[in-house]
Amino acid sequence: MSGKTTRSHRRNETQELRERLERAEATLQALASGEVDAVLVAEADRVFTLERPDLPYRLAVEQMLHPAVTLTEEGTIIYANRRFAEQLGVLQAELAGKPLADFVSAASRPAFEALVRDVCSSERGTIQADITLEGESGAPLPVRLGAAPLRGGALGSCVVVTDLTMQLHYEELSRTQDALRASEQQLRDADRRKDEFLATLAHELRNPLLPMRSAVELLLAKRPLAPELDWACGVLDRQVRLMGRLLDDLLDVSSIAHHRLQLRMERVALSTVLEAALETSKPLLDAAGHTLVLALPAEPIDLQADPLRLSQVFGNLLNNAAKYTEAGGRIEVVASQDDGYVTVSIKDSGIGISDEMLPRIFEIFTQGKQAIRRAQGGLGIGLSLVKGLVELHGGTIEARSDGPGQGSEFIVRLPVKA
Amino acid sequence: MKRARTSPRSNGEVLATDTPAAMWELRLYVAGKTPKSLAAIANLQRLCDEHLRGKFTIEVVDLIVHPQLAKGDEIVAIPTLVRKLPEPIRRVIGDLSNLERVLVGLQLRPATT
Repeated sequence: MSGKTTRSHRRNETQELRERLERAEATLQALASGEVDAVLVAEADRVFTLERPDLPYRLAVEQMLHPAVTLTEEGTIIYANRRFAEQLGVLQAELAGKPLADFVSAASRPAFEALVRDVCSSERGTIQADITLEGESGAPLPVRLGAAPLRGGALGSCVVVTDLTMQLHYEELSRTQDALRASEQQLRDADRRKDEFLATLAHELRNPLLPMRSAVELLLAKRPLAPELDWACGVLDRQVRLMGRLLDDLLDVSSIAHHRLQLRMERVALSTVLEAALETSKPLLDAAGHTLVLALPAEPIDLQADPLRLSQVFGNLLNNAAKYTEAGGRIEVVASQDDGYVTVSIKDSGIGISDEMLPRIFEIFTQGKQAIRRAQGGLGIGLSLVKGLVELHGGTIEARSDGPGQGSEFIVRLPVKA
Repeated sequence: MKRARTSPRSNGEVLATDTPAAMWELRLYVAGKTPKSLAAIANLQRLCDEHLRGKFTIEVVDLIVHPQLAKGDEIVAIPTLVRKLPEPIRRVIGDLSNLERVLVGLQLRPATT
């Protein structure tokens, strides 16, 4: 019986010793991980806080926004501040005692190892290395390590980490921006060269037209001619006129692009302008057998405008309507006045404009696929010229269409100046 | 190892079925307003709200003011948390920032390797 008691007594003693050991270990672990900042000395019945005169400095390192660690000569973490643990997504208490290399990406290990090797013997003070850290969160973190030996390397080194994420983003952004700027400049140069080329081309092509024109006039003056000659003369007359008009348009667009086109403003009735436009378009309208409906308000509308240029606007729009409408179509011209603006709508029952084309219809050299197939001529500069001229008058133009086959409507709005 | 926070309920519910009427009595020893003492108070409050909702009392003992109150609980390092109830008595030393260690220490979660 006494043997039993002794055994149970021993067991209790062992148990108690084990518990005390566990407690001592827990205390040491808490002290080592920095989770404790005061100790109670039982004999003195007093608490001693572990605050020393250097507390503000330690707190500064602990609280600073840059991650920082101190390392042993071999690169094992002695201390890591709060930010360092946050950036790696690791608990601060778990970092002490681990090799920092555990958190360095495989690709940047050599650079990191060189840093650790060199820093303690470094005569130059701080040395740097750009590496990638890999925390628990898995996302690689590009950083610059700035390492300095502590007391000549005898105490290892301290490493301050600079997050390079933003800097790398910025550098890439700035490279992209430079590239964009360069290509923008190239485009601008190309656009300018194109404008110059077009202006020169139009001039050069127009020069031979003048003598041709004179020659045609001379032939026409000799009428009546033999039927074949008369026919040939007519062809020459019409084609030289057409070519002249195309080259004029090209020159005008180029002048507008270079802000060289001057309007000759005068007081003019809208009806006069529209009549002039109808006159130029009549041959095309008649040839296609289109019905033209003209609706003007009862009281005359007077505009401050360049009559020649404005009739060019409506002439071009009417020509377009005539060209892009199947023979025997209907074209409506409706004018109205309100709020100091006159609105002229030119609506046709033609091939219409697709949704993709609609926003680009006023750009130079733009033509709808169907329009090109019709091969009715034109360089795709008519609407660009129209828009330029309308805007020179302080007005706006808008294109509407419900889609292919649904007809088109062009609406010109011009200010009525007193 | 990732430290996903357990949903506040899971542990509390399990506990309630184990010991239906269990009320947790916790005592936290601090040393005035040292950073770790303040951190421990905050961490303990959060932990109890999440894992012991409505089933705990916390007594904060300031050993700067009353050093003699540590007697019987064998306090050396501060802050230290002592679980008085349910028995047996358990201690967790430190500012309670390592949630996993605290949960294991208080037996709110089984120890893992």
